[in-house]
Amino acid sequence: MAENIDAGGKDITLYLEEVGRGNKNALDKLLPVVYKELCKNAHNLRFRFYNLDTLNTTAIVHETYIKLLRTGSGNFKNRAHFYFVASKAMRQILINASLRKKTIRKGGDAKLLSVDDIHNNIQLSDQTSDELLVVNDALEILEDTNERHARVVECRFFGGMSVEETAAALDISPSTVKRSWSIARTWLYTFMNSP
Amino acid sequence: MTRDYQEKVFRLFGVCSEFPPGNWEEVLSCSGETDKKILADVKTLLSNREKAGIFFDSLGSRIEKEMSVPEYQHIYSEGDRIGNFILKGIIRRGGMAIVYLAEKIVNNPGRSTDTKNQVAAIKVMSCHAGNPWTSFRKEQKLLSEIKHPNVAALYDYGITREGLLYIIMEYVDGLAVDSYCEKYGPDILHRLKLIIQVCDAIQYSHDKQIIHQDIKPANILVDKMMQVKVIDFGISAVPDESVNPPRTGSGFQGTISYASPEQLKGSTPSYSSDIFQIGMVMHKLITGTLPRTDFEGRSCNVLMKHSREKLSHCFRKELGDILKRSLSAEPGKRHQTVSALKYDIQKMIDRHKPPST
Repeated sequence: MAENIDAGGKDITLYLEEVGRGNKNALDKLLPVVYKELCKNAHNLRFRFYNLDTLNTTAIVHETYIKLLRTGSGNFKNRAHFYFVASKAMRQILINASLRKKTIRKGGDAKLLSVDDIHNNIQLSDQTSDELLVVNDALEILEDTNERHARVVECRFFGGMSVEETAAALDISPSTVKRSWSIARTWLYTFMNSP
Repeated sequence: MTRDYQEKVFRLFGVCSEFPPGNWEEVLSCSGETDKKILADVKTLLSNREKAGIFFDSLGSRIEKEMSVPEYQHIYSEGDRIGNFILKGIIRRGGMAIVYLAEKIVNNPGRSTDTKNQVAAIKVMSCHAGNPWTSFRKEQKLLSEIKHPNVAALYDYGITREGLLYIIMEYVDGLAVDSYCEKYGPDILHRLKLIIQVCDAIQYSHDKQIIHQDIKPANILVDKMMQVKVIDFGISAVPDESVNPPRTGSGFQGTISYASPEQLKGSTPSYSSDIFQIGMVMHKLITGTLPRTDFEGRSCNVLMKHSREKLSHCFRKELGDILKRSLSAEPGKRHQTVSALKYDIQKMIDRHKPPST
């Protein structure tokens, strides 16, 4: 397998297949590429939707998928795996934007945190960024005790995926996704609000 | 907390979730689970189930909303401070700026019992304070000298911590002039009187050598006393070589549909563009539509067909002539000054006023 991932080439598909087989190494390689690509698309889409309120994470993820797999080799299974990776990347993007916001508010130098331009571009409110960070902390704990629930949260919440898309991405049944999402968000909420 | 323990809690919660809340106790007692701590944890989760759903729905929709904001806009929230004011909410969001409702910070709350807190509108421009800042400062210095009943007063201006220009101005509790006309359906004379007030405001600013550049219904508010307040001199420029109008790189900054031909071509702003734009607003308020670009070739009767009001042939012709002149593609063919335009409108109103009212 090639070391360098070509964003427009077939290697993405190979990596996605590896991710689908549960290869963590492939996930680690793919994540930065998808992350960068999502950032670019978030930027472009915001321009296109200039005066509208309709931009959402799903649109960004979808656009990125189409761009990355323009070669046409992507099948449904690969798309599902891609959405899974994209959800993880989207989580990172939102958390980094929140961290940046918090740093600025505390009078720190935002440049220190700014790995990529996207964090300057996403302007979350104080409330939203605070809540995102708390959710993320709780989610890290949930990852330790029940990884599947945590993944469902990533897909449903951070990736904006539907029940069916999440089911395909994680290779579980839609009813399991529903139950898991209900359990996970209730646990997260309870954990966040416990003294 | 062990995985096993957590798993038991989750499983029991999942089972209960399948039933309506009234049956939870029963399901729990039938589950055979005896560990009091597990039962208590499940109950806590169950009691939070609905709130958790609301929390994630709300957070999710806020993320989507805030991500939709163009990158150079920054949304401030209620309670944030700009200048000497505390933000209370958003009045409107546009492509170029967001306007917030704000209240002045009272330093001595004990003494404020009989005076109402000063309310203001704060416009935060979406461009970062770069080059335009110099001219912005000069321009605002001029603006602060503007005191006219038909112009929203300017209180303060500056740069936010995030580097965005802001202007604090009089809050006008009213409607945009087109919405006002739609809501109350005033007759043509009433509408023309509103235009007269717009003329007063713009002539006054021209006397101070300020060109508005973005006259459109959204920037003309009508308050509860039916007083017109022209707002948003945000992109207005001083017609002086030494002070360049603030530009963001794309040239023309106003609203395209109300722009004069020369504005669209990117020429230097002129007083005459403002006259053209008043003509556009007048056309919109009276006919309900904007003129097509080939306005000059159209007969006045065609022009007035949109108006439901029965107007005398003479009135129609006069109105058509005024519009035709103010909307001339060539600036030289328009009224020389806003006062001249106002004079024509006033004369027409006087001639066609219904007797003894």
